[in-house]
Amino acid sequence: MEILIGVIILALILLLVYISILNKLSRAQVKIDEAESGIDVALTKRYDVLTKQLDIVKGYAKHESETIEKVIELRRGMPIEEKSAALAQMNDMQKSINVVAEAYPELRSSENFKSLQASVNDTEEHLQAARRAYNANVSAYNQMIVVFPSSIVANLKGLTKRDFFVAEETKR
Amino acid sequence: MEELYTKLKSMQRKSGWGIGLMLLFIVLAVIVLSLKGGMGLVLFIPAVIAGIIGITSYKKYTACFKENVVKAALEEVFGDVTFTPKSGIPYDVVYSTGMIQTGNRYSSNDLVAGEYKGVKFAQSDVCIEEETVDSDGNTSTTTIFQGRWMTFDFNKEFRCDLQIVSRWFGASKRKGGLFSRKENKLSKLEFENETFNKEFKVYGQNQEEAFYLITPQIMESLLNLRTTLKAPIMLMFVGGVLHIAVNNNKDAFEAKLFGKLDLDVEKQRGIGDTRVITDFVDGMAMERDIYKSNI
Repeated sequence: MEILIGVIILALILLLVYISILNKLSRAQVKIDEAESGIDVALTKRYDVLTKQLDIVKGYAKHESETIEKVIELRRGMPIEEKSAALAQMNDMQKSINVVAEAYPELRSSENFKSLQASVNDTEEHLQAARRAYNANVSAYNQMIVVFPSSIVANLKGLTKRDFFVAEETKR
Repeated sequence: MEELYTKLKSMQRKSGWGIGLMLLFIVLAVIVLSLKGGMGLVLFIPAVIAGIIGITSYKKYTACFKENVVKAALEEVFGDVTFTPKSGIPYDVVYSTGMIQTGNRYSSNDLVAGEYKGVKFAQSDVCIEEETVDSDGNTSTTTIFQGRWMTFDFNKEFRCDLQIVSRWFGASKRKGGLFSRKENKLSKLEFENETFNKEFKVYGQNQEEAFYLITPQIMESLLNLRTTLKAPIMLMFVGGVLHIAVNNNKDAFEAKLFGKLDLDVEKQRGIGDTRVITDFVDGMAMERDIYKSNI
């Protein structure tokens, strides 16, 4: 009888530990998803500003602006590596816009362009923040699923490592 | 300059003698009390007289020193600046952060208000103490915080409250009690810099905003400032204001009671004391747009 009670108590303790670890992992996943939505918001903002900038550039340099290809595709729920690729494309597009702007001083000095340039900087800052927050959450989660005893729960639930949001470092 | 030096030197000498004699008479009184009993009490009379003269002179000396030497140092660094030695950062401003232990005694003086690199600031010495009386009626005072309190006003509402506390800053308090709304509670945040995580604890309501304000460069700057200041620090982003508390157990801009008085050296010491403000503005690059307006 005593052995049975001991086994039941042990099983209860193990169950509680299992539930607690599972909750921790679930919370970590929620935090990653929240941070990812932050990346989505920042990417959308960046895309909008970039599109507006391109429209202004077209007004000043129609011919040159035709060479800037707008191939960026943003859609809801796209995997993180596709978001990284979209960001790389936006960076390329930004560089092309800057090259064109360099050749047109009146474009660079226009109030609209200047205000959009400030917005670009701000959206970049937000994007960097969202990316760092996301990666910090992914790092914490990935550590949890490889470290004992949470690794056992992660294996039982079939949880795998999440990808980092890789981006070209932009200096702030 | 020569005239000011003579005036200050004479005041310093008078206050030094007064306070020195007071201490001497107190020591003598204690010795005589222990050897000859009640006779020693007589020696407390000259001690009190010397003390009154010394303290009164010291107050006048400090006032004159601050008005002439410290003000000149502040004007050299900040240009247009107001310095009010008898005023300080109000009690309400400090406690409204909800991030510092309250105590039951508060004092603040040496208020400096001005602008540096376009950032409006105010700073003063702050002392927060807790006075307790035990069951035998004995009173004891514990200092909770003593040091600099700075506020930097950005005219921009931060999206959330954020608290950055260095190790050994014992006076800090987590904002939001047991019954606070969930969205008002601050939770612990970890950053990618391990050294920073060891040295500072960060609590915030919004992780992304925290990462927006605390960039890798800011983390490095805070680590450097912590090393340079050799004192625990706490930063609080509340509303549109950044509060910085430096718990260095020191009063800034004080006049030297004993020793050689060199006005140039003293002015440089005053400039050195302002460095706490400028180092924070420079280190945290407060002139950046992210602090200025909601773009």
